[in-house]
Amino acid sequence: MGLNPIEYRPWDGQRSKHARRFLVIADSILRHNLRSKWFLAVLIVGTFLAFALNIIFTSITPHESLTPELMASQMNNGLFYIFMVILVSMVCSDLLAEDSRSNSLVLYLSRALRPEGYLLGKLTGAFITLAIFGLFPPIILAIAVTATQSGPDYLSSAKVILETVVAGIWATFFLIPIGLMVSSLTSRRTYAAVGTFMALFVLGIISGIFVQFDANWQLLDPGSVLAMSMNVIFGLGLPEQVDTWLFGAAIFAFTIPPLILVYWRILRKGVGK
Amino acid sequence: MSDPIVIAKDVSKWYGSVIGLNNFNIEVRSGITGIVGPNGAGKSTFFKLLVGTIKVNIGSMLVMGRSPWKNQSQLKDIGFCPDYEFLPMDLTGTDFLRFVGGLHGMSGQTLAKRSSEVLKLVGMTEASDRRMGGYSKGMKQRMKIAGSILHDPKLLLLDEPLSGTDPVVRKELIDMIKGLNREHGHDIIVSSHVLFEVERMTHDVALLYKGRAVASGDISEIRDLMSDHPHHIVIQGKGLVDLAKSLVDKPYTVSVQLWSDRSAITVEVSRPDELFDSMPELIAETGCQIESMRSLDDDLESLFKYLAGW
Repeated sequence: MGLNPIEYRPWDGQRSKHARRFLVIADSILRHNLRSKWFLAVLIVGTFLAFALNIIFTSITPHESLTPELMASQMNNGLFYIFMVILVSMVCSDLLAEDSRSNSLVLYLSRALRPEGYLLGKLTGAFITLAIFGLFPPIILAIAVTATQSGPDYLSSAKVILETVVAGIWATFFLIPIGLMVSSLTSRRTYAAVGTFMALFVLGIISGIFVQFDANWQLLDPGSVLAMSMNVIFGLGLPEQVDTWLFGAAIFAFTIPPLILVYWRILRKGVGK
Repeated sequence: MSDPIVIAKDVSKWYGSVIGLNNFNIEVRSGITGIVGPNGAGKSTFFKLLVGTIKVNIGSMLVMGRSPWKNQSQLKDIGFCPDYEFLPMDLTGTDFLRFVGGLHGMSGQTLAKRSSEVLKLVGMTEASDRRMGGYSKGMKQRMKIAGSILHDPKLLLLDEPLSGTDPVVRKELIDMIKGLNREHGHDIIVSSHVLFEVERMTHDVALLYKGRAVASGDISEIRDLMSDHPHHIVIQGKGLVDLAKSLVDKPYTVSVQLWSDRSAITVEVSRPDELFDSMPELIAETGCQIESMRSLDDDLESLFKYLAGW
């Protein structure tokens, strides 16, 4: 555009057709979290307590093969869920509340990025970041157990590793919509973090109170729903007393409506409301 | 005359019961155009409409011949620098530009080279490796502008780029903005609530008040419109009592108020140019010593009311 003394030349690339620019947002989220001392501290402690000890212990204990029961029990343990909740609260609190506070949503929407691209970028960024805890350690555990098995049936172990990948992806994703939803409702990241943490645990407490009347009340607790879905993924099925349709409805309720609400909030914020 | 780059015709935009723009009309041509108005005049609403993040309720808005609403592809030709702080404080200037460039689909050597050029252009090369949390207000404004011109847009929208800056930084930013148009060919729409600041950048000005363009065109035409409007001018100095007596008799003087400590007088005049022209003569006549003269900035509100006929 015009003459200039500093080799100023117009960019003639296909900017508007760049379909993967949401990855730029995801990349910045990952970088941001990897610079956070608190995130790294929780990640390291969580990985050590929930997986590292198990990897060592399970590997040295004699075992014939990697079984679905073993992996389901590893991924359903309370420590894994507690640290996942803490990490989701930390990671998601930054995602929308901070942009809301600094009005930086306009930064994205005025640069050829649609609201859905923005949401996808945030979702992907949170997923990649949380996968460091929720996806990769279980896979490492599964591979370590397979590598040290005494039996010859590596095919069934490979199947369990594949199920572990699916379970890890699901475990990583499952709580993100709730975290994003809480983050979209406030412009303070502290509120978002505490709100997410409290929401998940209060649901668990309410579920615990009413479960004595009906087993389906378990489905009010995201932790129980996550544990049950792990069992389903590893082929162990649902507890008999839990209704399959209600289980499906609970999974739907914890994922889709929160994302719709987040999308609606982004649209509202985008126009300055 | 060049084709208009922005045409707003009978545009109205409201948020619930609040009106942002009311039957707003404007044509913006190439070069620098100043949008001046007090807070709440509708400047930011106008910019949001230009960027396409909000939709007009009534009327039509064309930016470079196309409607901006839901027209994301057009944003490659528009650079928007909002008036509020949005810079991520934990990033360095270089990281910020890399992030913004990524949002525009730029990457690799192209992005690195372009970032380097833009940093040089806004005078931020040396500070680019520092975290933006430690930047001064002026440096932040420069980085915001850098982010908005990184993808080399044809049209640059600067919403109150001078707000909160000191006079030295303001002058530097004004020179930079003028250079972006003169040397690099960007068409620029810049907003401010201070007419004087905009006047230093361009002669093409539109005055907004309560959602309407109450006047637009060359600044001299607007000055003509303003000339009959009473202005308040504060004169500070010594020996002002005699000056006040002399001013009372002048035909352009509406009123004269002597401050209680006699350090200044506030003169309300209908034709300020005549006051300024006659000042040397008045000083010689009365022997007063003038330290400063200034037009009250808060007079802008009454000026807008006057131009709007309210």
